[in-house]
Amino acid sequence: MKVHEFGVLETKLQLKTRNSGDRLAWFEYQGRVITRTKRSHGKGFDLPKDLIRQQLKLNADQLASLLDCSLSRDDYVNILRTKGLISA
Amino acid sequence: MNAIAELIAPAAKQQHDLQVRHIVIENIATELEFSMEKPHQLVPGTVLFGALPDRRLRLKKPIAVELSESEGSVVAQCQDLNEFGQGSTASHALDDFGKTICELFFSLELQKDHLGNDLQNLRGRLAEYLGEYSAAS
Repeated sequence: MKVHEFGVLETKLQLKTRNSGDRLAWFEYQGRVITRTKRSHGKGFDLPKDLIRQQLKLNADQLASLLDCSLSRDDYVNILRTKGLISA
Repeated sequence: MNAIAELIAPAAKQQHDLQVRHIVIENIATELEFSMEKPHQLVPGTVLFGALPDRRLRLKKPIAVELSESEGSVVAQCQDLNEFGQGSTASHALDDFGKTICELFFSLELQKDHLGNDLQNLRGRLAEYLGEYSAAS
């Protein structure tokens, strides 16, 4: 995953972010922190896509859909709800 | 050749010794260059991590961290904590991992009343590995 793709995730999911040693990002819903991920500031290599995907509780297809903008934040909330991470 | 003549013009044998030394130095330089070209190459495997960079935290038990190559870098991953560090070398990846779990510990503590179920569980698992030094200790 490229850094700009991580930026797409931040924007699409409206992740809250904070720069520390890494760039930390977390998804909040109704005042609760549901998922979190991060990316390093290191240059010269891509980000570990599968690990970021797992932290966001997505499968490969869902992540691809998020990146190509066919999956919305509301869809993501539904995915998390289906997984029991957000109460119905 | 007498001693004075040797000082002015070293014997042919000494010239030869200098050349041999030069070749040896070149070989060492070649080996160094080889190891610098592939700094992050390693055999993937698991290590027990215990080097916390934050003195406010103590380690309760070592953390099993899997090292692997990914996306042109090294990734240090703990599956139990679903957390990772990344760097250009194994050492950098482990450093990043250490900073990440310390940061995660404090973030989860700070937001403990506002965490979803999954992150509450993660906070519990993380507390099995890390603890905060109490003011008394």
